[in-house]
Amino acid sequence: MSFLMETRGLCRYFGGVKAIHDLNLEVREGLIQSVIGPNGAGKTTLFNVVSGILPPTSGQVFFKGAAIGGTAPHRIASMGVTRTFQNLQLFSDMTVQENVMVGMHLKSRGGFFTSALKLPLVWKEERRIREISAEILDFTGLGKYASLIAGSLPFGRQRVLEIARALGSEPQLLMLDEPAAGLNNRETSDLSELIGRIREKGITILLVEHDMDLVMEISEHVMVLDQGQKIAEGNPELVRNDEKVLKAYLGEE
Amino acid sequence: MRLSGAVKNPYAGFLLFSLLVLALPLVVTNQYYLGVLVIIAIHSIIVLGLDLLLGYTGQISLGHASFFGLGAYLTGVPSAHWQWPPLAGLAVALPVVAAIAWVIGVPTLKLHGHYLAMATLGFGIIVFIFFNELGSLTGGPSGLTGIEAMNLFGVTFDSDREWYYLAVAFLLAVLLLSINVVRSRVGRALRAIHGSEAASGVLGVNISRYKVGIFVLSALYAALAGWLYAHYITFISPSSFTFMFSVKLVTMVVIGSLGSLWGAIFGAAILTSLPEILYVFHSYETLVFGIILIMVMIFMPRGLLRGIEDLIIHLWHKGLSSFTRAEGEERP
Repeated sequence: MSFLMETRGLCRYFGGVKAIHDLNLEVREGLIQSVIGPNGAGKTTLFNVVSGILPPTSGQVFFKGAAIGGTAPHRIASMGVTRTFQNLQLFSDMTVQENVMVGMHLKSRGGFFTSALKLPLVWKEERRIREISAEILDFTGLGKYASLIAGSLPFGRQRVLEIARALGSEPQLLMLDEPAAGLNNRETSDLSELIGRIREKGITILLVEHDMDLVMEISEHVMVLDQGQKIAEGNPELVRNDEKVLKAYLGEE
Repeated sequence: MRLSGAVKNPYAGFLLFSLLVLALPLVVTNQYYLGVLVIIAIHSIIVLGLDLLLGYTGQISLGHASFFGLGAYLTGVPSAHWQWPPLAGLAVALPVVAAIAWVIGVPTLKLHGHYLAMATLGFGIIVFIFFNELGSLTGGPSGLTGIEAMNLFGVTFDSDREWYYLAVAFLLAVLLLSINVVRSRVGRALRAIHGSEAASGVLGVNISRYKVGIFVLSALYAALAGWLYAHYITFISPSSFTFMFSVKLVTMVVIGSLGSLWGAIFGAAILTSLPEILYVFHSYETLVFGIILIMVMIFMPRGLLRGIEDLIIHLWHKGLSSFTRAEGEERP
């Protein structure tokens, strides 16, 4: 069976710290999968390596069979992999809609020359970008905030905007890094519903999340990391009752 | 709510600005003031490019005076020695400066941190030495005389009035190109890089390519300004293209308002005309100049243009609230 994304013997060390060590992990197409684990288990490092922000120390990452480890982020993005950030990385001086328009960078072509001269192909493209980004904002429930400055949005909406912006690039694999962190119950349930609708569009979702209720509710497959290695995986029910997981993460009752 | 040049539609602002500057000679007829305005327009062209680089993309260049100088010398030398027409000089200056900027930009902009500032600082010093030491070509420290007056398609530009319209035409063209760039996919990518390199990368923005692109474009603006300058003054010397002038150009961007094209022109206008106004202070000119800069940075850290804008909005709201109080309405 081939996977949408997989890591083989992946290692990422920071000096003597083995953030990820000999990690083999598979992501199946079309599912919502979660990576959980205690703090320092290597979840965010995994995202950083897969998205190209950090090169692997050794081992390899494959996306649709192609090795992408150590490739520049924009190249990996152009293959259909994008992510959100746990510590928000919005373009906070730009409007909400402009954030999504940047997200559509890969879906448009205008360069320095054509943009400076504002050739017809540029303004046609610009109109298309506006329309589609407005649709994405409606899809994520941010439509009425379109012209606001992103930094002025309430925190919960900023989290959703990170996702909306990522959707602009029409990814095949969307990695969400703790999207529920800092959200209240109402916002979290909206988020869970949004993630479900994104999956219905055929986008594979890899989720890192500390909110166990959310993870257990929406995940179809859960992988548990501890000290940079995968210690268990399976459906939420299976993982919830796994001895090693209880010991490493959920605590013994 | 924002006043700076019709934020909603910068093209309306552009039209208004065009009418304003084109009508200015009806009021300003004094030769000397027209001359100052020409220099302001030339400086504005450089500062617009620098604002795209610094204000929008967040990259610092400390060598734009040398791109300005290269633009001037690359047209000045063949004009003075071999009587090349100005347009031939421009055809040499633009590609050469673009190539040089590309060579500097590619290795330095791949790195994180302020390597571009360091590289351009060093480059500026090297270019300055070349201007001084290549005496047989550049005339050395005493300067290069005998540059031909501007002549475009058989039209010679002699009077300050003619020159004003020429310089303004180029400024407006550069401004329009810049507005187009800012309001495009490219402009959004540049601002995104400034906002978060990590996020722009994972959204597919080729960061180093855009940084190099905007650096080359800003160097081209400076070279164009240098070409205008050489044929306007018809005499150039290395002292016009020093490191201090590079710093002054950066100051114009910061004082004007980072990331605002109108601010860039405002900054260029203020800092170019200030020495003329401060002339009355004679030897204290530098001191007064420094105090003004410090005051602006303390009280208007977002730059003069946005500072004044904020002040007007503040006074407007204050006026409104005192008005409602006078009406006897309850305040929340």
